Amino acid sequence: MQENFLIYVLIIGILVLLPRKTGKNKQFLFLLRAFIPTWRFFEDIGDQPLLEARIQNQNGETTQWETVIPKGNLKPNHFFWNPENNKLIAYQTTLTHLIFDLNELLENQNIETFSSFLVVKNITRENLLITLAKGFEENGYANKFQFKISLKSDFSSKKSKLDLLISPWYKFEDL
Amino acid sequence: MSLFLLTQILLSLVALIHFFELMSLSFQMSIHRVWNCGSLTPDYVNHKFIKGLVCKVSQPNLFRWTLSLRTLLVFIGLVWNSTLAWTAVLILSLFLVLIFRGTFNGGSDSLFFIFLWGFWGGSFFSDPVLGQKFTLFWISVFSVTSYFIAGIIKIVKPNWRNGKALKVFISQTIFGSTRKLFGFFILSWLTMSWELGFPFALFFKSSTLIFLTSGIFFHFGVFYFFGLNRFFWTWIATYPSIYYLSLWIQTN
Repeated sequence: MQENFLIYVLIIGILVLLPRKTGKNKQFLFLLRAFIPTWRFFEDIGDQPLLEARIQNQNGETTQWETVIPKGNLKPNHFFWNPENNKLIAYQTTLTHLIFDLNELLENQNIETFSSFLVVKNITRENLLITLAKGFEENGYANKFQFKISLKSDFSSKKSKLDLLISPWYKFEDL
Repeated sequence: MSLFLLTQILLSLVALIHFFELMSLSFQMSIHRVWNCGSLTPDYVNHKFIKGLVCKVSQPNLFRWTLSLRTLLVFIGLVWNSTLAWTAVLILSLFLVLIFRGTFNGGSDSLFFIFLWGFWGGSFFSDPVLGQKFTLFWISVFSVTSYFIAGIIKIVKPNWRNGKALKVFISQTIFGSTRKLFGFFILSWLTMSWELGFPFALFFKSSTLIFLTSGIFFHFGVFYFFGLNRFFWTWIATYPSIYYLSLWIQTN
């Protein structure tokens, strides 16, 4: 029994250590990753992904780039009840998936057709609408939006920011 | 109270946290506007049947029904040890995570599935005691493995060994750099040593108590710095199983 148990542990260990990629060809396996855990938490540091957006009005005037995903706010009751922060973490994870997809993008592929891109577009629109609801919309300000994905490096002595993707302009009502 | 019953209670708590959190987000509608059918379909170009189902479950009403039914079936499975209920829970849970492109909350969703597989597998045994034993073994092996592998993954990385990784991860959370922490080098090595040493929790009574008690603090720290409340509850729910396995190993 003990020998079988040790073999069982070994097999599980090997299975979960197997590397898995997230490219579009392995997309379906990637979607089933909750079934086969890797336990690769906080594996190694990388540049911080940033999602920024700007809005254009009917006259073509644009706002500055602003961060889309708001900062979380942790309170003691969130220990049991934390939907908002968990949603923000899920947003951040989706952004990371889009960056993986961008890195693995083949020449004949269009990133705008990827789910990760479409979901990030929705995240941008959703959060911009929250901002708009706080004041801009009444002035008929918003017409189109555009988002940008960047990588911010702040853990080396040289701080830098690299733009990976700037989306086309999207009309709010088109989505 | 038996360790199996304690595991059942803790799993119920985890299922309820999932239920109330997702239900609340569903009524806000934000998750349905972000993870909507049109955005999810490119993932299923070659899987039309699944695409259709995912699209249906992503609709607000059906999402809420699926989530409610899943939670109800978890309780039915726990009370009546029904294979049919656990099978349905697994299928419904799969669709719920597919809406979020695989997981809503990363590792905690994966560990939740480990619980489901464990209870599903245990329900096949005609002898309920053997079934319970299987469930507890299954959950504990995966939980111990999760710590050990997380430790290996870290210790091979120079940035973890020099303490830089922990500092950067904390500064990159959704809370920004508002959380202050010092002694990253020592904390990194404490984290790695604790994770790598976790299998020792199984072999000695004193080490079992030390690792399980320190695990509560470890996961509370993860909640405090990263906001991962579900990780806390899901991993702590495995502790009665780990304790069971440790007793089994120490007496055999």
